Amino acid sequence: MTPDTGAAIHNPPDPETGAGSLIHLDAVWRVYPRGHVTAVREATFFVRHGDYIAITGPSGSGKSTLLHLAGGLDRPTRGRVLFEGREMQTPLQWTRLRARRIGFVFQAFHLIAGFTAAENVEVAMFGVERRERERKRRAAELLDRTGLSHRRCHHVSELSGGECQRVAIARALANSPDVILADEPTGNLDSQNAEGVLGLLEDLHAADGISLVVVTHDPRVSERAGRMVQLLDGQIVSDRPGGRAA
Amino acid sequence: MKFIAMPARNLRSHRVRSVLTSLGIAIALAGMLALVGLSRGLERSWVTSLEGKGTHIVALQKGSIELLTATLDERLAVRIRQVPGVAAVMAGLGDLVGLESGEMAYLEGWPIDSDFWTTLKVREGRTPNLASQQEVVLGETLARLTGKRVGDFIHLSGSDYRVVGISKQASVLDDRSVMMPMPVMQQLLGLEGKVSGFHIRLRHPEAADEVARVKARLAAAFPELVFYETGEFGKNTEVTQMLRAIAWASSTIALGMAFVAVLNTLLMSVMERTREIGLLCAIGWHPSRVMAMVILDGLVLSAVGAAVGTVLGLLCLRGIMAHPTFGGLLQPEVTPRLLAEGAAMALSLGLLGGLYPAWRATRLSPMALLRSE
Repeated sequence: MTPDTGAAIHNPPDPETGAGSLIHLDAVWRVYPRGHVTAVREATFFVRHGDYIAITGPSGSGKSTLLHLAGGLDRPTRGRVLFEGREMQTPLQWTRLRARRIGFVFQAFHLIAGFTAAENVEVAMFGVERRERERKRRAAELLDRTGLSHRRCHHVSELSGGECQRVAIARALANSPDVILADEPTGNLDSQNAEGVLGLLEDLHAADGISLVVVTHDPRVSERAGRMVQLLDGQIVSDRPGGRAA
Repeated sequence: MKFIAMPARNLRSHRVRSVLTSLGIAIALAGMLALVGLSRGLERSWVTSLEGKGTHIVALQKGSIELLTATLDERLAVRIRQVPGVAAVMAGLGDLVGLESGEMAYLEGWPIDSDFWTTLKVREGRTPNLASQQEVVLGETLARLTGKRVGDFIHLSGSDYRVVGISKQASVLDDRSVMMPMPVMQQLLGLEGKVSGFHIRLRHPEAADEVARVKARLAAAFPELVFYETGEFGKNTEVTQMLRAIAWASSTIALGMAFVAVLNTLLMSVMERTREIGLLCAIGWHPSRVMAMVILDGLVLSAVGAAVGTVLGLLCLRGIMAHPTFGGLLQPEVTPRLLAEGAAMALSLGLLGGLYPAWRATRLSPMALLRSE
């Protein structure tokens, strides 16, 4: 199936080399051997610097798998994944990228219980920033930016869902990444908190030029993105400018 | 936040499990320190005892549990004396005996004309005058423990022996001894004419070559005997070798069990934290850092165990020394080196016990770990 590209997407990367893109998935398949489930089939997809992309589709359509492949959390069964035109072949290459250039935000927050908000942010900086004082300063700055300066020393169990997701966003920003990959970041939040979290991500995208890829099944979210990629049964059925671009 | 905060938090979150694992290491280490310390103490006290008597070489029956076995003919002393380079030979008879009051005492029997009587530092009274009289000298510690003074009688295997002197010796073993004339002791044990070994003094003990030559001559002339230089005696006798083997075997079993406890604790910890480890991988933690975190868990557990075990081991030794059966009979030798060896062993348990769980933690893909929620 040829994806519907709708209106022209400006400056598409070179389809052969991936040049011009930050992340490029080239004819990627992901097949789970158990149960012979094909989660993603021949997906070609790219993320450029400064993109704001919403990945949508019904449950089980392969949205999260596509995001995980884009961030190297999962490995394709077939096809290539490139970062800035370079094919990433080993898990260690992806580890280095996730440490410095890719930030992840998960639906379930995945914060470490027993740690404070600040410590959860600092955890992402081990191995990147050696100085403890600098880690603390950076964590405080990011929590301030995400509106949680008053909750810095609170443990995860003392935070609301919206606050937890803000901590997770601060953690994703810890090492100044080029791109944030967010998997249903508002999925566990009420509408007010969801709006706050989405607004925060959009502010970061606008202010810092961070590329933002959001997996969502909420049409209100997808309408705000610059590009909308739609999946159905593991295939990209459309990749076109979203509401913000219009 | 420091990196060490990660294992500290993990161990705090499972306090009971962590405390029990550390306690397992501590008990194993305490046992090792106590057993090895006592075994080394025994070696040391024998060497001190021999040095105090001016002995250069000890001759014992080959293949027997020496010192506590009296199978040698006392007349061998005359033949040994004839070997070139030998200055003097003194027969000795030794045995361990339980006193009525519950204490253990080391019995030593020497010929009445032996030089050993002159090496005694007699604090009170005198040494026995006649070979046939049931007179004994008590070591100072034994006299204190039994409350005996010069002129009192001490009851040994059905007979009473008059205490004629109390001596202070350098060796704790001698300080816990009952010293009596050889014939009296042979009669007491029913071993007339038999001795446990011979103490040999050399003409030139300062010349190592000469000592080796005399030792070789002795070995050639008396193949049924085994000869030890004083310095090596403590390490080489079958008694100390057996005690050392028991000490290390028991310690190895205990440490092995502690190792399994550490392994089990860390494996459980890794399994319970699969989501957290997955997250750390997802946010860019290098596998080596994840491994380091798990290994650090083990090292913290074992460091606590090492600290507690060292204190526990020293308290245990103090308890043994305070016990009437052993007090003063054995002087444990716990050197800084032994403490360091013990601590290193405990830390090795943590390190080795953490390796497999740490490796397991890095094997799965981050996604598989995150999905485990």
